[in-house]
Amino acid sequence: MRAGRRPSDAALLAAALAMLALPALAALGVTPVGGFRMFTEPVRYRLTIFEERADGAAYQVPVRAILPHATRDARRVLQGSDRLRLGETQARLVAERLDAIAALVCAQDSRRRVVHVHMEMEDVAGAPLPGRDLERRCE
Amino acid sequence: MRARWDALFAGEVDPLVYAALRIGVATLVLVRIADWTAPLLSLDHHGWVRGLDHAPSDDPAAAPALHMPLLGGLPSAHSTFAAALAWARAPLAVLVLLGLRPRPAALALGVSGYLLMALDASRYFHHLHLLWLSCGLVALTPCDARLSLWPRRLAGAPRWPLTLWRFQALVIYAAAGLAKLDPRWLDGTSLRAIAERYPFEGALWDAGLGAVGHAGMAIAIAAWELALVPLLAWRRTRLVGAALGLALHVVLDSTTMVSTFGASMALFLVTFLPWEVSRAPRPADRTAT
Repeated sequence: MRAGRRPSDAALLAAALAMLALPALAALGVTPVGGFRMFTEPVRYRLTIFEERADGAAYQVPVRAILPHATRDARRVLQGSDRLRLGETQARLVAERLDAIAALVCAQDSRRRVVHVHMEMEDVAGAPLPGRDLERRCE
Repeated sequence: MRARWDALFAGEVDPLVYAALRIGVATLVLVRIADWTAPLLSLDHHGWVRGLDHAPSDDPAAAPALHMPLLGGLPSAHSTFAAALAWARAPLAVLVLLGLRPRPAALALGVSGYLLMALDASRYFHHLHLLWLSCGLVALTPCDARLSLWPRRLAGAPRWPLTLWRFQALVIYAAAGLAKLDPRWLDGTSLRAIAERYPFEGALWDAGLGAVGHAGMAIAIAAWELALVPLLAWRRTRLVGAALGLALHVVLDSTTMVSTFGASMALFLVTFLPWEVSRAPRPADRTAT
């Protein structure tokens, strides 16, 4: 048997462009996924969670309260994030999914009416980076 | 232009390279997805993987579980779907390793790996992305013509998959190097912060740090990665590039935790060895179908 014919030029070009796509998007700051920007994007981040109850009382929810509900990888990212801690790609990705954290905090306690989640971020030189804020009404 | 394009993609290579990539990637997957090698070796992922990585049974969570997929609409990381994906990886990797239907098995393996990673936003690692990407690239190759249980008879293997492997390697080194042309990297700030948080150690690290400091080390790493791109791209310097690339990964592996990244890149560097066979391109190689 001989080697098969090669794909069309368009298919090969598309494959090459696909290989470039994620690094290009990462360079543009769209997503860190697939960027291969090894070690270059450390961030310091802090996660703060507040709950509001029906009677108007507000409390801070410690990050450790959500750790037993998380996967092992998520625990590695979230653990100790009550205080500024260093992270990389995963921290940036979790910052995009604060809605998931808020949904969990709502589900943990039926007395909660509103949950606020805030992810504060700064670069390694201490310059503030755009943080993430989310407010969720518990149903 | 046409001749240059054909020079990149046309022709044939020794099928042994694809068999080597197949075996290498499958072995890395089998090693990385569980901690079964812990009694024998000390590997980075043994620090955080218990049992079968990403398997819900080995990573239990209290109810209600945090459901934080990378993309909306995906099922829970603790679902039966997740369990099926996690457990499917091992037999799929064995099929790839043995060369039994390796192309569909490698494709399914890559898809399983990506899906499991996407079930939780905190699961993303560059080394895992590279591993599942490598599975996808294996699926493009006629990798069962050598070193498989029932080798497929193949006189010559096409060159175009090898070119894609090489291009992917160049993209990775270029992305890593270009990202380091950042003032916070070049003045050593990022490297110092990372080295304070994560283990950076070993004789090479200590010697480099003593000689040139964090900024010097940061510049050296950036220059090293960027230099690999032209060295590997140009045929005459390809072997030097492959040797320097391997040296880079030996240094990084002995200095800090990069898990399977260095080994995966070593496989990519293997593709830069002279695998081309001297046979004139056939008409079928020159025209798209």
